[in-house]
Amino acid sequence: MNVQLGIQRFNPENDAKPYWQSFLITQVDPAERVLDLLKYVKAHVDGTLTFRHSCAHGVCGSDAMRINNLNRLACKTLVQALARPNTERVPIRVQPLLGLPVVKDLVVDMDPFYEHYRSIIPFLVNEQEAPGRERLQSPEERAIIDDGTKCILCACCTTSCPSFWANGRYVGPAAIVQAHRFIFDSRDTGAAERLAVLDRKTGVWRCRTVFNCTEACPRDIDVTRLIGEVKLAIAQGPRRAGRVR
Amino acid sequence: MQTHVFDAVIVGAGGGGLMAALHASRAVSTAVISKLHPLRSHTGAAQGGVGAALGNLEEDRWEWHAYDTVKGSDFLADQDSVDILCRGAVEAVIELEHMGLPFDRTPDGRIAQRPFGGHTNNETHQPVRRACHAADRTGHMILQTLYQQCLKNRVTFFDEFQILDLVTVDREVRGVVAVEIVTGEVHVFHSKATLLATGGYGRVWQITSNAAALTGDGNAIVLRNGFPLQDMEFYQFHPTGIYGMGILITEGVRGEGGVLINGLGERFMPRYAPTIKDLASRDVVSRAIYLEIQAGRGIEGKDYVYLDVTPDTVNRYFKLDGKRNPDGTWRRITGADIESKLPDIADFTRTYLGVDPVRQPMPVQPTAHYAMGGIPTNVDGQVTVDEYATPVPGLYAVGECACVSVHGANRLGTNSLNDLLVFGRRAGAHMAIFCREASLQLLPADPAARVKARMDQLRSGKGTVRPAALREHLQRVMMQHVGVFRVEAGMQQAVREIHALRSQVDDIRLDDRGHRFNTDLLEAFQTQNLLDLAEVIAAGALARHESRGAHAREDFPNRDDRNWLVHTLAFRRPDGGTELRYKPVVIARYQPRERLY
Amino acid sequence: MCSFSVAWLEGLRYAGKQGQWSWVAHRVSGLLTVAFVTTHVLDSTLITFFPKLYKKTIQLFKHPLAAVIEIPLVGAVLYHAVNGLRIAVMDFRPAWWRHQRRSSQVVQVVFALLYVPMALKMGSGVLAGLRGKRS
Ligand SMILES: Cc1cc2nc3c(=O)[nH]c(=O)nc-3n(C[C@H](O)[C@H](O)[C@H](O)COP(=O)(O)OP(=O)(O)OC[C@H]3O[C@@H](n4cnc5c(N)ncnc54)[C@H](O)[C@@H]3O)c2cc1C
Ligand code: FES
Repeated sequence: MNVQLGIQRFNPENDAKPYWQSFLITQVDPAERVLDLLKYVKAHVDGTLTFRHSCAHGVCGSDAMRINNLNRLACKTLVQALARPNTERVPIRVQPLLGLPVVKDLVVDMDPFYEHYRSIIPFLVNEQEAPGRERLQSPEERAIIDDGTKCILCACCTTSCPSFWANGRYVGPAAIVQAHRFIFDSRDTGAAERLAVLDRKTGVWRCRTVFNCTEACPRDIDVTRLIGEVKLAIAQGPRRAGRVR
Repeated sequence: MQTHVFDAVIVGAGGGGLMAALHASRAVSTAVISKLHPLRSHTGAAQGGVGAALGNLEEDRWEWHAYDTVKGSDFLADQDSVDILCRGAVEAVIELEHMGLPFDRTPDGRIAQRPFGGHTNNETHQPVRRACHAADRTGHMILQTLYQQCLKNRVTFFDEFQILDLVTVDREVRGVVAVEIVTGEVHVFHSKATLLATGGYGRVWQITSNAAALTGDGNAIVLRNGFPLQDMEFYQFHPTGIYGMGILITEGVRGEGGVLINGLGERFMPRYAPTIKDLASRDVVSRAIYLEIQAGRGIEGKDYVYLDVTPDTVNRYFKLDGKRNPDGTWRRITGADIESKLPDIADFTRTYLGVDPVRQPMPVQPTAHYAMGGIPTNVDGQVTVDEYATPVPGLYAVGECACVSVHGANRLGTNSLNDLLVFGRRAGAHMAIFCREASLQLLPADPAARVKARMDQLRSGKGTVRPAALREHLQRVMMQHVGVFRVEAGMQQAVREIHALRSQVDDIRLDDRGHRFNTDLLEAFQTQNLLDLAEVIAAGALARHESRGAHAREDFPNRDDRNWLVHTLAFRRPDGGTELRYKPVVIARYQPRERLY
Repeated sequence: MCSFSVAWLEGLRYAGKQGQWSWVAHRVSGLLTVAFVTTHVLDSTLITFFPKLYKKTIQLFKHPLAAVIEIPLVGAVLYHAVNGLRIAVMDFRPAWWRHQRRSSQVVQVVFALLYVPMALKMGSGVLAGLRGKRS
């Protein structure tokens, strides 16, 4: 299999604006990851190509990028998934995530994204004295927050959201998912504070149920559902919303 | 160049670094420097669980955990440290739960636990449920929880700063030199105490479960600064990596009942470990797989075997093994159990192999996984420099880059995460006390001179060698000659080849000569680190004339306690060669004896 | 954050699924609905203030060209209403996210069922009007 790999390049040190560069890579195993191709180019063709990556199996969240116009992790996207039937050459186009400033090539400045994450009080709030052993939590209570705890903060969701593209002050799906994980944790007492943050103009109400986030999530989190539950929690109080499932 | 002053500087933001930061920052000014954003650290990849004898599902005691750990280590672990680990693990897991870690739960609401390789009830010798888990993303949850707590406690982070050197004066450490990746600017961090928690170095090998960032930077920097590394020849190959890719399939799969099957369709582990079979310790299972493959019993004669967790197979073997629940009914699993207890594993095999673990077996092979060796420390995380365990004031190490030593010649599954927590906490607390008493020493004239010179040299180099070519060559050599089984001739060849590769380091040529986010330059530094570590690994392995734990020699197949019940200390000589010295093992309650599973 | 034009250009190139296109359609039909409603508010204001002008305007609306514009406008209002219901349902029953792709399709079908006859009726009215004029 051959791959025509187009990469959007931009190094502010030298370039006035982004441009596309294309590499023909031959003899590609269909089961290779897009990340493997990028690593190959960097190691053997052009060492200036710059992208983040680490774990190479979809758990660290470093290599979120836009591949053939969809946000995904390069390490979880196999070439065969991008191939069209009966074509010799697989066209692959790789771009940085939309909505965050580009630092260089495929690397974006994640600070605004982390800023939103920090704004939702992303830690357990419980000032009561802890018991000697673990706090008890039933498997059912634990199941409510399960989905949100899978989030690796890769930013695939937030940077696929039209509301975020239009207004970067929107906290975005990832931050809401992280908030959900605490709001509905039976051990947490900080829900009211978090809901207040998310009830602001930059909060959940900017979500227009477009579902791009849910489709983009490489961890298969039902992002829009979690956002919906937070909306309900604001409207009806956290307790009721927890049961609407 | 910028200079920052903190009481304590912590390098590395995996579980080890963050735990230390949390405890140090309660008392003294603390900075955490990490080349990856903390949430990208490889602790997040840990799957199966963290070991602690909570006894939530059946009787368990920390002393049993300690004995299992010592036995797993092939008696090379220091038993005083092991006691601290196993007692401390219980407390540490509870502490994490209080911090909000979403552990899976038992029906009565307590932390859920599963069996793991080498963890037993010392009376019945049967596997015991000791691994506390949050599905198969326990490490991810630990990393997130610790990072959340650090945010809560306003720890100062320097994200995407890679350290390149220590600042030392007369073998006293006064800080670190780092480069801010996004700008390429050099920063000096001036501190009273410095802690290294830079993780493992699986990237020395070709097939590995380790992330690209795991290049052993901390270890190599320490070595180059004249400090020793301990037990580097002991490197664990995990038995079940995804075939050809090395991605880890947690031992939790076998904990849930999965079995290993060879090309004849036979479950072969009972031949190697009659009592606990597929849940023997990792070195034993990896060797068994190799031997099966060598004997032509790989799947279709190739170099892999199957890991089978399909409910049909598992339930059949539960019956054959007489495995019952506490209430007397047969133990059983269903497809839904696999989906809920091992969701990530199912996702990996579906994504990368197109294999559905509920219906099909997974092709696996051993993968380079965990460094038992590392920077020698005492139980407070202080780095020690000689056979007498003399600590260097102000230098600390914890986590996979360190060697306390609780893992000896072979680590048990779940014993790294608790190591991070228990010794991270101790080191953080010790640093806080140290910093309150110590005063800030002066920096030398230009602390970053060496680093800047090397960077200039790399940026202007006119050589011909791509760092990636060196790295890939090294990884092949190490996989072939310093892997699961080792022989004299192979290792000698490895030493020669590593030497030749090291001599090419000055001939490196970079494409990227800029300053902004120059990963080409940083990878060159990392490649050099891998080469430096490979050299001491091979030297230590060549010298050790016995088989112990993960160090298995075909030419010396037996353990030799008379001559080799010692820790290796490897020093870099001024001429570039390696000097080996040896340090006694701390033996307390458990006398070495033959290891049977 | 990025410039508005880049957001639009690259955003429209994003290969989102039904959800994204329903959203785009909802926005566009929303704008058209605003236009529709504004015109009607304006023309009904005329009744009180400028009755004569009002009559003229109504005459204008009877012009075949106006009817041709009216058909898509009615479509927009209808789509906006039906899709708006879908969104409201999604907001009240987050657990139904699973059916989101199908829900967009349902909206399309319901819309088509209501709109096609309506448009045909309106269209034939226009044609009849035209024919009537000619004869
Ligand atoms: C796939 C996998 C599964 C595992 N599963 C389990 C399990 O179930 N149970 C268990 O107990 N153990 C498990 N382990 C082992 C365990 O996860 C690791 O040993 C442990 O997480 C290491 O933690 P650490 O804090 O030492 O290092 P890491 O988490 O690797 O962190 C290293 C940190 O150092 C930083 N760093 C490195 N070099 C530099 C530099 N030059 N400058 C600045 N910063 C630097 C990195 O950015 C990173 O933040 C597993 C390991 C793997 C690979
Ligand atoms: S490299 Fe870690 S998620 Fe892709």
